[in-house]
Amino acid sequence: MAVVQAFAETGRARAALNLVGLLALGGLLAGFLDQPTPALQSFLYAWILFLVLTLGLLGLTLLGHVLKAQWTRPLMRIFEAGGGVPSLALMVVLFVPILLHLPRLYIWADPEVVKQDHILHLKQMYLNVPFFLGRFAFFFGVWMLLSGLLRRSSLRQDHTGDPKERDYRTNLSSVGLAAFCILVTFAVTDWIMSLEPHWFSSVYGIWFLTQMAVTGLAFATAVVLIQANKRPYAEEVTPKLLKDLGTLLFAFSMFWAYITLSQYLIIYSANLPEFVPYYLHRSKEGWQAVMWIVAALQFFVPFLVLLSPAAKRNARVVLGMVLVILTARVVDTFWIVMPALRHEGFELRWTDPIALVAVGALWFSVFLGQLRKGALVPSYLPMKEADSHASH
Amino acid sequence: MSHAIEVAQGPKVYGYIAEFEEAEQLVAAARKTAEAGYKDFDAFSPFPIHGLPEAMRFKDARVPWIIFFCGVIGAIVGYGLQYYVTVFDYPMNVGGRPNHSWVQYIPITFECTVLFAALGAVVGMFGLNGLPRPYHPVFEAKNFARASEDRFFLVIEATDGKFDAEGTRRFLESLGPAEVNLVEAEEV
Repeated sequence: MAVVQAFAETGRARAALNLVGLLALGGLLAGFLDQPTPALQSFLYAWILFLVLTLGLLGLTLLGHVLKAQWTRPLMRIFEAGGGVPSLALMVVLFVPILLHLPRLYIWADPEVVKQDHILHLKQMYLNVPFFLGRFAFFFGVWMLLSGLLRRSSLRQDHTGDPKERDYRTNLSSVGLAAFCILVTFAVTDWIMSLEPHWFSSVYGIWFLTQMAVTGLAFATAVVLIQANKRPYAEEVTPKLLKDLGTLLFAFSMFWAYITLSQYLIIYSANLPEFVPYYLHRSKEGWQAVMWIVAALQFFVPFLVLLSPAAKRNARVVLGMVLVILTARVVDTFWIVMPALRHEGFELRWTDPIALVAVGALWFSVFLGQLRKGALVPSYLPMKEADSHASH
Repeated sequence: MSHAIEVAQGPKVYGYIAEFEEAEQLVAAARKTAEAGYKDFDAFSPFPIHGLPEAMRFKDARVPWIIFFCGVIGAIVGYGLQYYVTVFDYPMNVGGRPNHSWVQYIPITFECTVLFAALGAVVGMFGLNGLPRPYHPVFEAKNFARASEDRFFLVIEATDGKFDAEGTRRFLESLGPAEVNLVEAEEV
C-alpha cells in the first residue's frame, strides 16, 4: 500500500490544537467574568459558524451518497470526518454554556420581556425553553444517527468490499437528505432566526442550506488542495476533478447570491414595518461596508474568476477561490448573527476572534482525529464500475 | 469558399473520410490524427462524445468570448433601460423609494444577461460554423447518412499542409476504420 503523506503529523497537531482551544476557552471565560453578555455573543457567533460547517459536511455526505458522483470520492472522508458523530457531539457540548444563559441571547427566553411583549407572548407556545430543548435533542439525535450509520457502512466497505453497502447508504441518504433539509430549516429558525423573534423569513432554511453546502464544499476542497502534492491526494487531483469542483463552487456561489438577494428584494419591495428592521440593523454604521465585502468575496470574485474553464482546471486558482469563499463565510456569519445582538452598529470585540480560535481549534482537533480513523480516500468507487462507464 | 486543390488526374479532392463503428475508435483516431500533426480535420458522430474535442485538440474559444460579451451587453442594456425609464423618462414615487432603486433592477438585469448570452451562444455558434449550410462535400461520401444514426466519421481535409493523397489515405487506414473513402470537392 502506498504511503499516506497527508496528515502524517496529526498526533502532535491535535495536542497543539487542544491546548490552543483550551487556552482560548480560558480567555473567553475571563471575558465572560468581566462582561458576560458580549462574551456569550462572541461564543454564539463562533458556535454558529462551526455548526454551519459541521452540518454542511453532513449534508454533503448525504448528497454524495445519493449522487454517487466521481468528484465525491476524494472528498467523502473529509465530509464524513467533519460531519460525523464526534463533531456533532462537540457542537452539543459547546452549546451548554449558551443554554445556561439563554435569556442573555434569546429575548423570548426571558419571562420579563415576554410579559410585556404581546407578540412574543403569543409565540410562547412554540418558543419556550423546554420545547426548545426537546427540539434541540431531536435534531441532533436524527443527525447523529444518520451520520453514524453512514460512516460505519462507508468504513465497513473498505474492509469487506461488499458493494451492497453502497446501495444501503444510497437508500438511507435518499430519505436522510430530505429529513436533513427539513430539520435544518427548523434548527436554524430556532437557533439563529429566533435571535430576532419578531421577524421571520420563509427563505431562511434554504438560505442556510446554501451556506452549509458552500461552506462544506469549500472547506473539503481546501483540505484536499492544500495537500494536493501529497499521497493519496496527489493521484486524485486531476484537471477533471478540479473542473467539477470549480463548477460546483461557481454554481453554489451563484445560488447563494440568488437566495440572498431574493430575501432582500422581497423585504425591500414589501417595505413592511415588521420585516424591514432586519436590514436596517444590518446596514447602519459600518455594517453596510461588511455587506458589500461579503457580496464581493462570496459572489463577484468567485463568479468572475471561475467563469473561465481554464481557471477551473487550475489547482492554485481553485484553492485561492476556496479561501476567498471561506473568508466570506466567516464575515457573512458575523453579519447575520451580530446585528441581532449588538444594536449600536458595527462592533468587533476582543472576545470575537478568541471565540473563533477556541471553537475552531477544538473542532479541528476532533476533525483530524476522525480523519485518521479510515483511509483518506475510499478503496472503492462511488458508483458501480458498469454504471460509471455508462455515464460518460 | 472552395477547399479544392488540383490533383494530377481524376476529380478534385476535398479530403479522405474514414468510417468507424465505435465512438471510442473515433476518439482514438482523432487523438492519433492530432498527434500526427494534422490541423484541418473534422469528426462526425450521431451524438456528442465525451473527450472528443480534447482528443482533437480543439482549442477554439471564440464562442465563450462571444457569450461573455453578449452577457455584459445584456446586463448594461437591461440595467440601462430601467435606469432611463425610472430616472429620466417617467420618474414615479413608489412608496417613497428613490427613483434609482437598484435592488429592483437586478432580476431584469439578470434576465437580460442570460437572454443576450444565450442568443450570443446560438448565433455565435451558427455563424462561426458557417451554418446554415445546405450542402457540404462530405454529404456525397459513401455511407455518410449513417453519421446521424450509428457510424462515426473522421475527415482529413486536402487543405491541410500535411495532406498528401496517398500518405493520408494510408494513415487513415492504419487507424483501424471500417472503410476509407475519397471525398470529392464540390464543383465551383
